[in-house]
Amino acid sequence: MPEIDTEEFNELCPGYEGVWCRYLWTTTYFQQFFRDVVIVTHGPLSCVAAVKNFKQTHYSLHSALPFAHSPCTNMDENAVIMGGTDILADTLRRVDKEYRPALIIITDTCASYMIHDDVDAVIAEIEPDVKAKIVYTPSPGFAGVQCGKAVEAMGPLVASLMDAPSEIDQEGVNVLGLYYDTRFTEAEGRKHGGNTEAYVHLIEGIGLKVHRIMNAGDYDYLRTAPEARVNTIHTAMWGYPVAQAMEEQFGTPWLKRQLPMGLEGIRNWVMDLARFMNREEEAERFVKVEEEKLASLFEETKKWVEGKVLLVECSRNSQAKYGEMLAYARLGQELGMKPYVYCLHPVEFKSQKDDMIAVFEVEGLNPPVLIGPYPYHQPVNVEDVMADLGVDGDQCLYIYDDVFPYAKSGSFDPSNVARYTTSSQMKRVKGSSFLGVGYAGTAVTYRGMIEAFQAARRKSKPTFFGRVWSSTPFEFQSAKQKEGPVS
Amino acid sequence: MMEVLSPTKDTKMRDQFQPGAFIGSIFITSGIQDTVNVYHGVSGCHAMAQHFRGDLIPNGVYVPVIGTGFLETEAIMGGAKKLDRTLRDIAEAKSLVKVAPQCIWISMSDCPAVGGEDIEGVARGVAADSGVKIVAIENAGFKGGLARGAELALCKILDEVVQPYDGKREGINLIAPFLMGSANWPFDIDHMVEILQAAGIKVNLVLSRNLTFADLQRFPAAEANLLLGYDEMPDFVGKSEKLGVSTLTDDLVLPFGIGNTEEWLLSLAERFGDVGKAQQYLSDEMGKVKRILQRNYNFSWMASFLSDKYAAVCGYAPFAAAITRYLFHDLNIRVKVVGLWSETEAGIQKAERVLEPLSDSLDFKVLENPTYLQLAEAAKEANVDFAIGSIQDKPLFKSYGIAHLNLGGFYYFNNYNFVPWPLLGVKGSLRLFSEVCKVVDDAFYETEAWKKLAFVPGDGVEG
Repeated sequence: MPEIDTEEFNELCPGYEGVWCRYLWTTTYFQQFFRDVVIVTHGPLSCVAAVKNFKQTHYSLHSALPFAHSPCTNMDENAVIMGGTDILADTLRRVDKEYRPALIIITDTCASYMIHDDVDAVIAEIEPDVKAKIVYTPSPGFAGVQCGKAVEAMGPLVASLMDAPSEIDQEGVNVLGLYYDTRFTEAEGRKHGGNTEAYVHLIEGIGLKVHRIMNAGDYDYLRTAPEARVNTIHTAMWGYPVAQAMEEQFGTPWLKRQLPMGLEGIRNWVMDLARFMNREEEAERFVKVEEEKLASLFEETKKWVEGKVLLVECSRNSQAKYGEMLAYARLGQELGMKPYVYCLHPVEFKSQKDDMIAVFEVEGLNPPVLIGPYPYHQPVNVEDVMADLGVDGDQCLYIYDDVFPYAKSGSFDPSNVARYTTSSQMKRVKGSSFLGVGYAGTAVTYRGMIEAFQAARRKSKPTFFGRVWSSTPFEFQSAKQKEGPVS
Repeated sequence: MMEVLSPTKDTKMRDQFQPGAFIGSIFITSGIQDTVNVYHGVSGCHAMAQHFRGDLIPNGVYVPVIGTGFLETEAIMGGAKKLDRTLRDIAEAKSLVKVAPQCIWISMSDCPAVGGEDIEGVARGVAADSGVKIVAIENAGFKGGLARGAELALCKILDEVVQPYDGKREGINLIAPFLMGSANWPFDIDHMVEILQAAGIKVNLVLSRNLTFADLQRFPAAEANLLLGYDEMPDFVGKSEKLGVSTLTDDLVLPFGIGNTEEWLLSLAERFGDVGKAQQYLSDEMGKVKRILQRNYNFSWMASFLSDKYAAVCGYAPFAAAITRYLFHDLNIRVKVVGLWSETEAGIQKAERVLEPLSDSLDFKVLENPTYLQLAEAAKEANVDFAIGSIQDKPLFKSYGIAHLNLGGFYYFNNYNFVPWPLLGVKGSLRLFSEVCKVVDDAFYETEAWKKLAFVPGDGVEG
C-alpha cells in the first residue's frame, strides 16, 4: 500500500478526509472527561458548534458525561487578519473569574493556528492574574487529519498534565484508553453500564486496586495517575499514546493487551496483569471461577454460531477505533466463527498503528480484511460481500459500528439475517459495559448473538427500519418479486 | 417589566451554539434538488455540514455534500488539485452521482480560506470544460454565522443564477426557513406555505425547500421577500432590490401559538392576500382544534395545571421571542428568563421589540447573547420549573434540576420529530400544547419519591 497522502494514495482513495479533525478530538478528549476543566477555544464559534452539535451532546445524553461549557474567542475575519491574542487574553481572564475552573486548556483551530497567534505569550502575560492553571494544546483541525495520528499526538499532552509521583501504590493499577466514558457507575445512578465496573471486577478480582481510569474524573484525579504501579489498556488507539508518554515521563510500565472481551481475551488480559504483579495464582483461581460461570452460556452460544460467517462492517466510526470491531472478530473466532472485516478504510488501517500493533502483534490475530479503495468513503454493500463469499443469510451474523447499518426487508433484515449492535454509540445494556468488556459484557454479547439468530429464524414480519429502506416493504411485494415476472 | 441584560456586550467571548457561515450556505443550497454540494475543507467541519444537510430530508430532497479530501498536505501546499478532481468526478458523473447535476455549489472551511485557496478559479476552469454550472461560495466559519452564510449563498444565487425579470410580480418569497430557530422547521415551513395560501397569499418561492435549480429563476417574480430570521442581511436585500424585489422589514412575530398566528397572518394578508380569507381560515382551523379540546377533561386539567408555572426560554431570537409570547399569552405561563441568540445587533433588537408588548403584564429578564453558564444561573435564580431550548442545552438545564424541552435549534440531532405535524399555526398549537404538557409533567411528576417510597414485597415483614 502506498504512503498516506501521496499522489499514488490519492489516486487509489480519492476523497479520503479522515473523520472529524484534530480540534474535535482534542476538545472532546479533554473537556467533558474532566469535571473541573474548561476548554477555551481560540477560533470561530463554528468550531465549538461542530463539537457541541453532535459529539459533546451525544456523550452527555448517552454516556453520562456532564454538559461542556465551551467559551470561545469567537474569531472573525478581522481577527484572522489582525490576530486574536487580545481577545484570547480577555477570554481567559473572564473564564477564570466566571467559571472558576481548576484547569483551563486552550485549544486552537485551523484559523488561529494558521495565522500563528502566539498563545504561549498570552499565557505568560495573564498567568500572574489568574487562579487556574492554564495549558495550551495545539490542535488545528487540519493537523494529522487521519484519526490515529490526531490521537497519537494527544498522549504526551495528557501526560504533561500529570505530576511526578511522590510514591507508588504497589497494588495500584490504571486503565488507560477510555474514550467518552466516565467513572460514574450504575450503582451511582447511571442507567447503563460504562466500562468502569468491568475493570474494577477484573482488577479487584485478583486482589489489586484500581488507581485511575482514564480519561475520567477531575484534574486532581488526572494529575495523580502516575502513582499507579502499572498501566493497563482498554483501547490501544486511545491508551497506547498516553501509556508511552507516561513511561517516558514517569517510568510507569504498561501492558499492551486491549479490550478484554470473550473468555480468551479476558484471560489473556488478566494473566498479563497477574504476571506483572506476581498474582498468577489468584488470577488463575479468579479466571477459572468466572469462566465456569460462563461455561454453559459459552457452549450454548457456540451451538448457535459455530461455523458461521461473522460479517464485521466498519464505517466512518471504525476510523476512530477499528480495534473494537476486531475485538468482536476475536470473540467470534473463539466461538468457531469465521470473521470477515470490510469497509475499513485503507488509510486508517495503515495509519492507526496502535490498533495494528494491538491486534496483529500482541493478539496474533489476522482475520481476512477486504480492502477496497472506498472512493469518497463510499461503503460496500454487505449483500455484495456475501455474494463474493458465496454465503447466504442463514450462514451469517452481521455486526456494525455506527448509524446507517444495511437493511432491506425481503433480503437482508434482522428478521432473516442475524444482526447484533456492536456500535459503542448504540450499544447500551443494563449491567454491562457498553463496549462489551469484562465477563458481564461478554455474557451480554453471547446472549445478544443467540437472540440475533433466534430473531432471524422468523423469516417474516421484517423490521420497520428494513421496510423503510426496501423497494418491497410489504411481504406481499417481496413474495411477488421472488416469484419473478409472470411469463 | 422587561429587564434587558447584556452580559457579553463588552467582550468578544461567546459560549453559545452558532454554526458557521458554510452551514448557513449549505442549508440554502441543500434544498435545491438536481444540484450537489462540494465541501472543500477539513473533515470536522464537513461532518457538521453533512449532519445539518439532513434537516432537508423529511418530506424534502437529498442533496449530497461531498468532501474533496482536504488533508494536512493541502493545508500547506494548497488543495486546488483535489478540488478540481472532485468537481470533475461529479460534473462528468464519473463517480458519486449517476447524472451530472444542474449546478455544483462549493463551500469551504477556514483552512483553505486562510490559505487563500482560489476556489473561484478552479470552479471556472471545470465549468468551462464540463459545461456544468459551478458556484463557489467563500463561506469559511470565521466569515460569520448561519445568517451570514445564508446571505452569502443567496447573494451568489442572485448574482450568478437568477436572470433579470420585467414581468408581473406577485406574492412573497420565504427566505431561509431554518433561521426561524425551530427544531421542527421542515414541517413548520411546509405548513406556513399552506397557511399563507389559505389566506390568499401567493408563495412564490421558499428558499430553499423542495426546489429544482430551474425554480430559482422565479425569484424576481415575487412582490417581496419575507426573511424568516431576524438578523439583517443588507447585501442580499440590496441585490434583491436591484432585481425588483423588496424585503419586508416589519417586526413580525413568528406564528407559534394562536395569538401569534392571528397577528402574523392578518398582517401579511392585509398586504399580500385577502383578510377575509385569512379570518375564515383561522376560524375554520380553530373549529378543528375545538373539536378536539372543547369539553375535554384532559385538556381542561392540563391547561389549568400549566397555568402560572415559571419558565425559561432560550434559542435563536425569532423562535425564543415567539415561544415566550406563546407561553405567556396562550398558556398563562410566566416566562422569567429569555436568552436570545443572534448574529447581529439588529436581530436582538427586533426580538426585543417583539417582546416589548409583554412588558406591562409580565416581569421577565432578557439576556442578550448569554453564555450557557449565565443562562443557567439566571434560570436557577428565577426558580423556573422548566426550560424550552434545544437538544444541545438539555444536559445543562437538567444538571440544574430544571425540566427541559428541546423545541428549538435544528431538526438534527436527537429531536424525534418524525410525525410531520407543525409546531406553528393554529394546527401546530395542538402539538405545542402536547409538548409543553410533557415537560411540565417531567417537572412535577414525583419520580424520586416513587423510587424511594416504592413498595417492596416482603419489606418490613419480620422473619
